[in-house]
Amino acid sequence: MTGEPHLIPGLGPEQHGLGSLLPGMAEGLHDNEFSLLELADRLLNRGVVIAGEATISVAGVDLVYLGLNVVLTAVENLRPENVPPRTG
Amino acid sequence: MQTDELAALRQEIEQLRGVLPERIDVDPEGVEQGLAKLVLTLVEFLRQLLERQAVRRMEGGTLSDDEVERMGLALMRLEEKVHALAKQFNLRPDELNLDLGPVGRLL
Amino acid sequence: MSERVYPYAVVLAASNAASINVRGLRGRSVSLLPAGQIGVWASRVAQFIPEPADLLVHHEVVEAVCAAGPALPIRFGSSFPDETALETALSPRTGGLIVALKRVGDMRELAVMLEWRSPVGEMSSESQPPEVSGAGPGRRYIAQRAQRWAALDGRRARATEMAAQLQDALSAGGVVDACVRRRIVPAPRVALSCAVLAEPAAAEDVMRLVRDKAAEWLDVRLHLAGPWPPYSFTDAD
Repeated sequence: MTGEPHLIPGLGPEQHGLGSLLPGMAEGLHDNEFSLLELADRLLNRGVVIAGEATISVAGVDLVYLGLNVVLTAVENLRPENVPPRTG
Repeated sequence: MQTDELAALRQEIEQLRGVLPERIDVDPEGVEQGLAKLVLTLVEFLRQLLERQAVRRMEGGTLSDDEVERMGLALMRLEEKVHALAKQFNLRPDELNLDLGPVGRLL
Repeated sequence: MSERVYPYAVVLAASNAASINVRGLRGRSVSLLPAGQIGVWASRVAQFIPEPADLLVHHEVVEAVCAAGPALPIRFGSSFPDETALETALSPRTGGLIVALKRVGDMRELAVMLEWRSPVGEMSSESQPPEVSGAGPGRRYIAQRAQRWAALDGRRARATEMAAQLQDALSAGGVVDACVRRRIVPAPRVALSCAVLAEPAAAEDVMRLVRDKAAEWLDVRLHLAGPWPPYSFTDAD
């Protein structure tokens, strides 16, 4: 295969992870929604990576992230109206 | 030579579709869904690579209408297969584009 | 249920532990674990299945740590059976982490995102049905896909152009290239995502500079957030 992965837009390192998880949002992003999504993107995809659970990584990918589907697909739940108020 | 490359490309498309099973009998929730997402995302990446090449061939203007038609049908069937598998895991096609950290960067 | 150690952020060993006053994941306390020349803020928590609210808690701890001095956020989600395991995992990284800590200093990260006003495929130039009269389904399919790739390529070229102009504007405003991390994305909604590292005192000026530049571009809407801890600048390059 004459692979040119760096020329395939929409995939690979230039993919904006959460930018593609927005099909449910009808209109443009509101600033606070954008903030939460960008923040979640940073918390899940950036920062220092230390492989904590060595037994659950597949192909070098920390499976704890794949197992975090409940978090990834529920990013919409980070919208202000959906986050339960913190006590104390 | 052109025909050989074309045949090879179509064969790759068919092969990729052939590699995918009809059904994957696992619990669609939990960790398996994460693994399925990983595998299907990689398959989707390959599918798009092949699609991109096919489009370039078509735009090259040297293919007959019939060749383009067969190529298009092969790609359509492959896309349907990937989407059907994704659906088994409650994954939308656009969810197969998720950035996967280190794997995402390697691609 | 066993307890595990959940790390939040890396700091230089000489950091002041007493100044952090925030609760950690699932209400547990946060403490500084020494690890040679560096230290790591962490909590002991009974193992749990992460929920969206936990992301925000992690972020709040990271923010509190960053407010007290140079710190590198640790990605959410990793945990260790005990402090020793965490230290063992960190120790080979010490050199690189110290370099990154010193480079980041007290700088914070601004999140710049340019959103397409029309998602890909919706501009009229992108959505005319392709001309393939009398064609079978295969040819129509390929023609449609070709149109989509062309639209993505067009968007990509436009995003690249804006990224270059933004970088130039930032340079002219005193922001060095190493303080800008960008990703050009022809995703349906996002044109460009960029992280800019700036001193707290300079943040307002940098934001104004970005707003002024983005105002020139009618096909995108700017979203700005931060200053945040330096999530995007934790490596040593």
